[in-house]
Amino acid sequence: MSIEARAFEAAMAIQKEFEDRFAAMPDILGVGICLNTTSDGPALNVQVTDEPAKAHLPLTFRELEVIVDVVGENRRF
Amino acid sequence: MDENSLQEVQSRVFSEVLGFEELPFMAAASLGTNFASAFVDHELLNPLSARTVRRQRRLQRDIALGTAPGADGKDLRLAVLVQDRALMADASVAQVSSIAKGEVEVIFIGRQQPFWTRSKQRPLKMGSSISPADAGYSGTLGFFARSTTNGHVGIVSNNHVLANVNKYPLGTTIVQPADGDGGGSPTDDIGILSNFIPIQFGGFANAVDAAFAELGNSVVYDAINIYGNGNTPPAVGSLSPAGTAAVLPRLEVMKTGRTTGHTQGQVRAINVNNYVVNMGRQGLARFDGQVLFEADPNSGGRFSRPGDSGSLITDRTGIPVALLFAGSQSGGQGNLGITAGNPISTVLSQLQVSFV
Repeated sequence: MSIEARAFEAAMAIQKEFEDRFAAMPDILGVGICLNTTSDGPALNVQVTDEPAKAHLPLTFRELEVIVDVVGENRRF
Repeated sequence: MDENSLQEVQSRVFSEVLGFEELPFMAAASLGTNFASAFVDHELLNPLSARTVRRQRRLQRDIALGTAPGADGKDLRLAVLVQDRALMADASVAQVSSIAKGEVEVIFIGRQQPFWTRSKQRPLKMGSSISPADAGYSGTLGFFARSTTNGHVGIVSNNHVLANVNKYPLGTTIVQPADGDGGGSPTDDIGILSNFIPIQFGGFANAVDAAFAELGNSVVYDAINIYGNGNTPPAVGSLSPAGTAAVLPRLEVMKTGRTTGHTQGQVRAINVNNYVVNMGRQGLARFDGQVLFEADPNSGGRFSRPGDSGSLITDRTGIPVALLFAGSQSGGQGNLGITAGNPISTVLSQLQVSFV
């Protein structure tokens, strides 16, 4: 299913709200926009250091699904 | 055999046939390196024993161990990968088979050569290894560009590849292959560092990890072809710098890099802010507006690894998308790790360059 770019642009406003609320947490390593699990709309994508960090995050935020990637750390390649 | 039995067999082969010694785990960890296993070459620990291990040295070079499916498709067998045909009937292989109680698949794989990306390439190719002379590491040549301020032609890669995170001064000699891949000055000189965007620390947001090195007048280059994997690299596509890609999640992409060669993936996330990257000794740096990528779900391998930094990521038609600079070991499709790139339009505007 094709998703219009403006759906992602609308999600970015919600992303900003999410960042204001959560991005200062030390175990969050990035916040962006990805596809939701049903691939029919945008979702918030959050990179975190470890599994316990997921517990501090909501499953949804302003009706957007929150998809969490446990990445350990991001390193220069 | 099951996985535990296979590990025991591999341990015995490492020590009894290949002559490696096992370090206690904490001893290996204390050396400060991420070892893939606790087995080390004891010749490295005791140089005086070199003559006594000459035969084992050949076996270590020509035999690798892996995992193969069992005859019933359920259990596992030890895979013995042999580079020298003469070893196929050697007593050492028979000894390996004995240790594994016959649950072995011996495979002749021929002499393995390193990726073309790590050897000298003239004309220069996108994806080949580069670094400052004497840097001691390797990165990737992303693409060829022209300075919009003075018209000089050069190469684009990361600040942390060409300038070692703000460290090297303008004018530093750049070599291909990289110092980390055996390149050296003056034989392998290709140009000089002429611009980099300083990476800010202390919580300031960065947009790119990018640098530009002007090429010497006599250096020939191929700015068009995108090369795939193989000892004689095949062209698998052409760069289309005039095109514009709608960079949205699931956009299919590809890249050619020094470490993993040509790989395919897809966009995982866009507009990624507060992306925190460990830049090494300098500490953590924050990047905003980044694009994240994950491995192609059908590839079974990672999209990138350390050493691929500087690679140009394009869509599958060759339209530039991003400059690869960081990543993680986990997360994303198949938990194969996530790769980060600077949007290519931001790289071009900040470095004041355009595609050749």
